[in-house]
Amino acid sequence: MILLARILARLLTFLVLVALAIAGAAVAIFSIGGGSRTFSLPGLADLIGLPALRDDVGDLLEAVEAGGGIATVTALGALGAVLLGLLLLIGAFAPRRERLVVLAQDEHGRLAARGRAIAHVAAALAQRTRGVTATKVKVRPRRRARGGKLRIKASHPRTADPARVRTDTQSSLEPLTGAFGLSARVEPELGKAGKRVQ
Amino acid sequence: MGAARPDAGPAVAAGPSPRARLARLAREAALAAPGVVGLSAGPGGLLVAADRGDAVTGVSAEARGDGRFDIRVGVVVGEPLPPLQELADRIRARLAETAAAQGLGELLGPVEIAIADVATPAALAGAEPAA
Repeated sequence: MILLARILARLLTFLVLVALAIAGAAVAIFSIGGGSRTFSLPGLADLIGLPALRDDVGDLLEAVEAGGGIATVTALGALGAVLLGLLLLIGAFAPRRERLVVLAQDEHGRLAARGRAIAHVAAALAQRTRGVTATKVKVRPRRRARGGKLRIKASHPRTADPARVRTDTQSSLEPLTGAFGLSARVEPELGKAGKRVQ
Repeated sequence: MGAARPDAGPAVAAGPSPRARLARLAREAALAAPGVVGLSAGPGGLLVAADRGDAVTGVSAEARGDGRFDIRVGVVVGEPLPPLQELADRIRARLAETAAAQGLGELLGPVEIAIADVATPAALAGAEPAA
């Protein structure tokens, strides 16, 4: 979500800068090409079609005042613009630092890990479990406290008992979960054909 | 631009700042720990201690209000995985030792060890040496 907002903010910033550059170039060319008679606000307004725009906007405003479908679409468009503005603000000001999983903390400092690293360790431990053929791990750090939540999807063959896979996988994860205050939720699922059993 | 005044204060000391020296020591301590195969500046490349045109990647040193520096080190560990708490203790102990030896012990604040990634053997085969 944050990544999308950031990309959008950068893209729009770039587009606005391009539009500004083009507008600046237009004014410069206009001022070079014309004399004192042509380089004026009325001339520039005529050039970019402001009178026609005024007529169009006037028609739109009258339609909005009258209510109905056009008013609804306009309101939705305005709401979308507000949401886009909020998204741009989030993209511009949201902290770039990634939230880490805090594993331990004392007066000497913290021991923390990126979610990806924790997921890697959890997957390696889970795949040591008998009957587990593949794993998918999601990590969610706690906001303020130490630890976090692990959600592990453990694939197993038909011959394996799902309940046994769950308890055995949780036991395999004990070196990680027990030591660092992580909770693990294991979801056994039937694996695809062709996967090897450990 | 004018000539330097005699009472303008002491000249800026040559060489790296204490912050940069601590960052370098932290980098050396981390890379010397068994199981560490490299350092990482993180996904946004924020974990960098820049100093006078030079930069120590994978380490940050931020000044605290009490005159000490918060140190953060992003380490990449290899397989087989080392015990993480033991790894952090080793890095902190070595850093404290080398900082004290260089007269920087008083400046050393809390040291955060962030496990940035786990390098698989396949990734290590194609990677450059850490140091």
